[in-house]
Amino acid sequence: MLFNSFSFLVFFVIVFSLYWFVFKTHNRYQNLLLLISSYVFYGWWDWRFLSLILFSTIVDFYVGHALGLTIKKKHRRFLLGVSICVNIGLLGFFKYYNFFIDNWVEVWSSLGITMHRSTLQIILPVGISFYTFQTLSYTIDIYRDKINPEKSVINFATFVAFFPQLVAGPIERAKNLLPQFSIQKKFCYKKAMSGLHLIIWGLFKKVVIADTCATYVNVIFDNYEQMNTLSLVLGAVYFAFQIYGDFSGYSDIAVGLSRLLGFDLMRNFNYPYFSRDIAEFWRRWHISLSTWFRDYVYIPLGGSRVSKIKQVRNVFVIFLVSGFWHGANWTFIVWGALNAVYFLPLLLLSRNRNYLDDISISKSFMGLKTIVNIALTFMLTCLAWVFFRSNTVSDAVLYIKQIFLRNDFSSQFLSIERYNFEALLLVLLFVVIEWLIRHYEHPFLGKYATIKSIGIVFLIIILGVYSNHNDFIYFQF
Amino acid sequence: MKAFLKHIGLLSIVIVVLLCVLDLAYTWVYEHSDPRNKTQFILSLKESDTLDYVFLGSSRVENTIVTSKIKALTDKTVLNLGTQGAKLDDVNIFLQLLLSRNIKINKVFIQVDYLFNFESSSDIVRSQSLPFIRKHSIIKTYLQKTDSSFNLNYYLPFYRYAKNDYRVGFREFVASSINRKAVVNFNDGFLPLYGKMKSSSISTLPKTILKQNKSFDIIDSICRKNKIDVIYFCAPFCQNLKNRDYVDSLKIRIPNFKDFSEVVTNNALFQNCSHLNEEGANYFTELLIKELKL
Repeated sequence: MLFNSFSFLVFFVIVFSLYWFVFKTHNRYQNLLLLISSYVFYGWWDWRFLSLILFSTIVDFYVGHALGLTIKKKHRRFLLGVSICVNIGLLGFFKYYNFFIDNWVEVWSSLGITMHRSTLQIILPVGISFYTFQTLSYTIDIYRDKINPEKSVINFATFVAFFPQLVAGPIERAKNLLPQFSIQKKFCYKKAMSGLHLIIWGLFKKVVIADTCATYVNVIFDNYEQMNTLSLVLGAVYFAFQIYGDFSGYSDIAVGLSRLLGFDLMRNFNYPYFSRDIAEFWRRWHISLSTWFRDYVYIPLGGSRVSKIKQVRNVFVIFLVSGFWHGANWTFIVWGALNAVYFLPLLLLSRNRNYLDDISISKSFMGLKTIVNIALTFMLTCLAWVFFRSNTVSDAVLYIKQIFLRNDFSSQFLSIERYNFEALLLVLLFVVIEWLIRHYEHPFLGKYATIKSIGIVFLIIILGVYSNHNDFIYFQF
Repeated sequence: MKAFLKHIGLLSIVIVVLLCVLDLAYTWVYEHSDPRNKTQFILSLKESDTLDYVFLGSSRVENTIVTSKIKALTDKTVLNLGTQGAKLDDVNIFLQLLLSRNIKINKVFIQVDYLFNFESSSDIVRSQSLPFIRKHSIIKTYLQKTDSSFNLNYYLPFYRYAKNDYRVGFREFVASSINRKAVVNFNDGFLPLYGKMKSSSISTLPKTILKQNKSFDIIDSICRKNKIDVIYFCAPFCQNLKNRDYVDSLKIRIPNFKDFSEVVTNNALFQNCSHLNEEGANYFTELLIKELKL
């Protein structure tokens, strides 16, 4: 059940109506309704996956409960170990088993030893990487005495399976989301309107920007050997906007839907393509994952309070793990490594926290410098995205090699019966809108909010791509 | 909550109105603009005209029959209505639309090769027919039979344009609004392919032939009923064709069937194993004129 599908619209209207009209005064029933709907939503993909989420929920609920009852460090460490092993074990099996087997066989065969390849037909459960991290944060935070164990199993299960953010985040922290299930909700017009506006804006990003770019990206990446320089460059740029529109669009819809139900989720994207260096990019891109890795991996490793060599190690660890989190393919690992390499000079020169302010362009040399920095950061990001999008590392290397060697900037007619540059106007328009609204969540503010939202709805209707069924990219992670 | 529901209500009304207005606008433009596909072209033909030769089929007709050459050498009126991906259901609808406009056809040439094994229609022709779903009963009947989303396309405003945005969406709407010239020149209908085939290019025909093809039977009966001289033919394939026996089965199954599958022996005249390039198309068209005494 995709957010941009008719079935989801019907589903949400039913949930919303029951939530605010039938169970309005009963918080417990509201939560129960959310839990049932979340399981229906998740089971819609494949009901068998429900057993995994149920298992994780039960294990972490009881581990959390047990952690609350014991103060012995040894016991607490054991309980945390159980939670980590169960969650990472499930994730590792379902997501990485075949990858490790394949690579194990490859290593031996490169040494001339033939091994039997016993890969399994494993289907990757949707959203497993997201809810695993969410539920892990709960047990870790209890272990660190940052939160208390949740007493209600319904509330905890709803926190793990909360359908707006279940399959692609934002990865919420128990500290932020869990207490919200205990509060009696009151409908707030302002909150609901901001939620509705975020949904409209998220839909625009998904069906207009991401899906339009996808039609070009697929052709260019699938046939990169036949593409000229301009097509290859545009392919990388379009993919940058495809993945941004797709993922940030999903996050906006998730946050918007939650607000309609009276919940506040964290912001996942903050106009990342206007970043002035890679460090700023990672503070603005997939914020919920970056902060998760910061809090649960980087800081426990010593963070930036250790020697420079260890800092470099820590940076590489989180970027490589982050890359691997995205998928069981070397392309993601190289993508992570490349970002670590980009980050390294900033770390060594202690300039990784240079840009913590809002972005503005003054009419001076500094303004020009900002523009150059934004453009350079975007170029580096696009280069890394080539690895993210390619099927293999060698495909990505060849793609980039062709960009520099082809030297042909003519416009190319693609097999989708369009010229390679045709989506550029739409992308530029989107960039302009994003620049103008960069201090806000969405463009529907001020006097003409309603008219602006109708305008965007109009664009969604006429410019949206509805012929190709495009799943959200991050569902595969 | 009341204010929010009011806002949702207002937004829903605006969306419905937008959908209706857009549906009307798109339909009007497709009905009144210069033709940009062969369905539109047929519907724009002058009524009660006479056509000497009409060629129907898939891209193996569209990229193969050089209509201008036939016109120049025979002085006859010719149309190439071959369309990429077309199947016999699409041939059927084109034929019916031509006849519904009282167009007299003296001779029709229908490509029947692997198409004989398909009782389906092309996604391209289907989506290009959608703007006329409410206006033409023939198109309505054709879509009722071939389109699994017929009810949604017919009753929901703008659904047909949104769901088929690739063929009749905003981009095509703008192109039609400003009467941008189509890739195909309809007076000719021939769309040349350039380049030469790779030696590894192959084509594979089905191993067995369908016992009966309902679409074919309907086409045949329409031609008989309207006293149209019909010739079924197989366009050329390259030398790397697999399951050539299939064509022999077609010869047995269809009495007035002309087999041109092996007449072009030079693979350099092909763009790929199933399609001739421009040079090959010219060569074959000349050969066709001689063979069929056009």
